[in-house]
Amino acid sequence: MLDGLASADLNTAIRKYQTDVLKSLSPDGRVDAGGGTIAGLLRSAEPSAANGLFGTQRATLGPTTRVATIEDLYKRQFGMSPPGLGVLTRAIIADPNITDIRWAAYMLATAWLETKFTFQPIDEDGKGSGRDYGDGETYTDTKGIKHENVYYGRGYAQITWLKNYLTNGKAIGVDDQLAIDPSKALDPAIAYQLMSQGMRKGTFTGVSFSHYIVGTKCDYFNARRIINGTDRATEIANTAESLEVVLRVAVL
Amino acid sequence: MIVVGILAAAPATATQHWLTNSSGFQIEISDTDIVATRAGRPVFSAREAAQADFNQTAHQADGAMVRIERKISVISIAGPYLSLRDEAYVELTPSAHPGGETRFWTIDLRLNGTKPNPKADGLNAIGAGRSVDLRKLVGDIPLARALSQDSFVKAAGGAGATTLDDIHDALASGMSATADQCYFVPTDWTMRSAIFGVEGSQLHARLGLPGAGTCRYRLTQLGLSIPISPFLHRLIGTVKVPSVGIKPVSITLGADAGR
Repeated sequence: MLDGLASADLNTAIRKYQTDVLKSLSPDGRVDAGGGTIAGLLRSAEPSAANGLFGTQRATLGPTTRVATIEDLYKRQFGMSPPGLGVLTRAIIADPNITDIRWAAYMLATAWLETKFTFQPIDEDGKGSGRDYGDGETYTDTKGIKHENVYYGRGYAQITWLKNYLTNGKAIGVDDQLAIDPSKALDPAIAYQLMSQGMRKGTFTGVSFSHYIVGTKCDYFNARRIINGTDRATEIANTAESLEVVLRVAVL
Repeated sequence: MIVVGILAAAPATATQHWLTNSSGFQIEISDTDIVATRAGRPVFSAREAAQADFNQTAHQADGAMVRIERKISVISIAGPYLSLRDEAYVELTPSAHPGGETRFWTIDLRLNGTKPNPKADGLNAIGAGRSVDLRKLVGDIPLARALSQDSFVKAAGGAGATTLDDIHDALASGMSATADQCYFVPTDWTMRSAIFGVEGSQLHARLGLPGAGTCRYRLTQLGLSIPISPFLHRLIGTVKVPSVGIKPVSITLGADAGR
């Protein structure tokens, strides 16, 4: 029965999968990062999979997806219960623009690293101290009023520098409000819009999900270029793979 | 095609100098570089390594402007092993935010040249071919035993761990244990080490775990005291450390280097 819960039944199903498919002699019901079960599930998740359960990239999150299941699976897999995972997952589920479950996995993996594994929109440690941007910058608005701020990293995507606050603020429809008051980028709704817009539309670096995760193509390593070159690309890609499994199990 | 050379910003007047010898290598720290030579021939230059790393980052940057600021200091020279602390700030334009990290890095000077790894991402490329892996230097079991005695590892739940995999898992699951911790465990975590000294038959070293995301420049240090073989003891000999007051060498490469 597919009840969407991380229940004893799901644990039994994972053990059965380990025994029947992976031919494990000691099934443990666990789906550990980097483990054989994940690898097997990911293979099952290939678009050509015939079982229909893990389907294709078109499998998506929706109103019936249980956030509690995702949180529970995450705890099993990563050994922790991050405080912001539920809020961020709900925002992704509610976002009609997230049409590919792998986009959701990669967004979560990005927030995983950028927010110190809390999944909460937070300030950069040190607030730019010792860097050029930590000295602050003056923005003059359309009325000629000057606003002195430090445009250090904030939010799920840790946007930094005045130009990013301006261009990405305009992209999500708040005009120059983030340049006037950058702390608004810590509001979960705004932080989510910034990450979603930036990764879907390429407003951070000029490239977007459509360059790396589209159709049968899924390049989690180079998807980091949507944010920042290949900085921590390997670790984020590995985490995205694990999170994709979590999401796919959750939408069963 | 126009090729434009990029010059690193460097102070005009020398203010520091330190020179020592170890296992046939001469190590020299100046304002602008850390250089190792053998029989008068250079075998390592921090500036050249940083330049190679910059070139690789720029090559992978898809046309983005690249600026890298490094602060590299010598922790020790122990036989042929040169241990460094390396703080790197990486700025791509455009991008959402800067990157970089702080790491320990021990180089085996006997190995040839600066060999960027074309498959490595970001700063892991630098000197990848000659970085010392503590696992290979002292062995998995002694390393695991030493790590399990570290207070940070104990607090993360790794006190009773007997394997490196167990310690890795304990550290990884503790990554968000408290608000004042901020580290993560990269795939090459046992290659991020520095030698701090030798006492009797014990090697004193540290592993450095980099910060994650918002705390990317933080370095969480794990202290290790590891029994070493007579062979390794003889190879290392006397551990030498720079004089008090020797500052990190600053190397800035790329867009608007002098600003």
